[in-house]
Amino acid sequence: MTPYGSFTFFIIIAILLTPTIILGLMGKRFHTYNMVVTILALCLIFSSTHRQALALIIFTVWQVILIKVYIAYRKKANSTVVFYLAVIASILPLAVSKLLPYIVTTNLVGFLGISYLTFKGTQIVMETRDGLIKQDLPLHRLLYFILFFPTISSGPIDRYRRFDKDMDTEISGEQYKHFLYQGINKIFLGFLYKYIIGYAINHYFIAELGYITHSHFQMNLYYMYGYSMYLFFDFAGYSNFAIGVSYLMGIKSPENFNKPFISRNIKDFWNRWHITLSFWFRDYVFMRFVFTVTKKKWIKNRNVTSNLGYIVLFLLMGLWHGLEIQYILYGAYQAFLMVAYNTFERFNKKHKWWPQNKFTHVLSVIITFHFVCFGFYIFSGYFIKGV
Amino acid sequence: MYDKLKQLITNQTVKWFGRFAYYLLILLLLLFMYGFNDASAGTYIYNDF
Repeated sequence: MTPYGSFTFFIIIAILLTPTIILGLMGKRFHTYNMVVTILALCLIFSSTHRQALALIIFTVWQVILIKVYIAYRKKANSTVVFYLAVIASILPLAVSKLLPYIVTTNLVGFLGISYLTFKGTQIVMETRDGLIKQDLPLHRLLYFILFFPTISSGPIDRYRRFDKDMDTEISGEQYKHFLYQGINKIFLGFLYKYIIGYAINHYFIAELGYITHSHFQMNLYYMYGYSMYLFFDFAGYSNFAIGVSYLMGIKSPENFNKPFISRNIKDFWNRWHITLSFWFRDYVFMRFVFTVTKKKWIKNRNVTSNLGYIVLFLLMGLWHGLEIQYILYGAYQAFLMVAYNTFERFNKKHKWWPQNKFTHVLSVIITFHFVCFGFYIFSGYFIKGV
Repeated sequence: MYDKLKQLITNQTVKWFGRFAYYLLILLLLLFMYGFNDASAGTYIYNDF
């Protein structure tokens, strides 16, 4: 069963979370019960695909052993080679699952949410290396963090230390009322986004483009804007469901969107769109790349280093979506935009060519919006597959 | 005038009714679009990644 994919799913989750809500309103602890709910929800999600369920179990065992062994090792030593090997081992199942479909017909490794679970696992390895995670993690908490069902299929990507803090926070009945209120609000917003607006765009606009438009160019142009809106309402709708259910369970999963279509520039856009993913790539790819290059003095010019960092980040992000040409082009396009904006920003700091006022602000938003939509047009692969 | 409007918007009862109307509207729209069927609005794009 697809998470948040049908009304039945919501009804089952509402029944399962009723005791959580009652316990929460009474100011009692509910995380142990929520762990049981997570197991039941996972059974529900993966019940129809036993192969995926098995892949999930093997993957989880792999990640847990890896994390435990690396934390134990890190207490005694801190070899860079071991760290790189741990990261590779953490990413390996995801890489194999992405490559397998190009080699064999049955993907035995992949399962729903493998990317997001990998991001969580790798993040723990990275933070252990940085000394941010020092103690051994309790097994039940580690499992609960990795397998937390509201965010299992597509995030948002939480961080272990933040999640752990939520687990330790005592929530009074009065405080839980706010959690409940915010959770319900987000779930309703999710319905509005995914089931009403997203559905309407897809069925009454995108699917009807053949009748609405009069030329190939017009069709592609309309598709570009239609798909951009659809992608946003689809993904933001999902994120609202995931965050809303997390809130009901007393976990404040991080936000994934912050009005991305009013971004002033591409840098601003990536602080507003798929926030947890872009921050993951920023912290664990870009920052580490820039730090290593600067420390080893491979490149002296800081701007060249940061531009190279952006190129590495976005090409990797593109490849993570898949090895199809549209994703690689999408990554390259975003890298180009980022480097171009970075260069422009430096030029403008010196020459004050683009003044800061209300008019230029609105103009910047409009320009960014069109560049972003063109990016989603590439991402959609519509220019390859057509209707 | 502005203060009165501000008072009205921040009034708890008005807020409650506004929120109630908003939720009701969403539920009615869902009912209008899907009826009482176990509808699916299609799979999520990012579930593929």
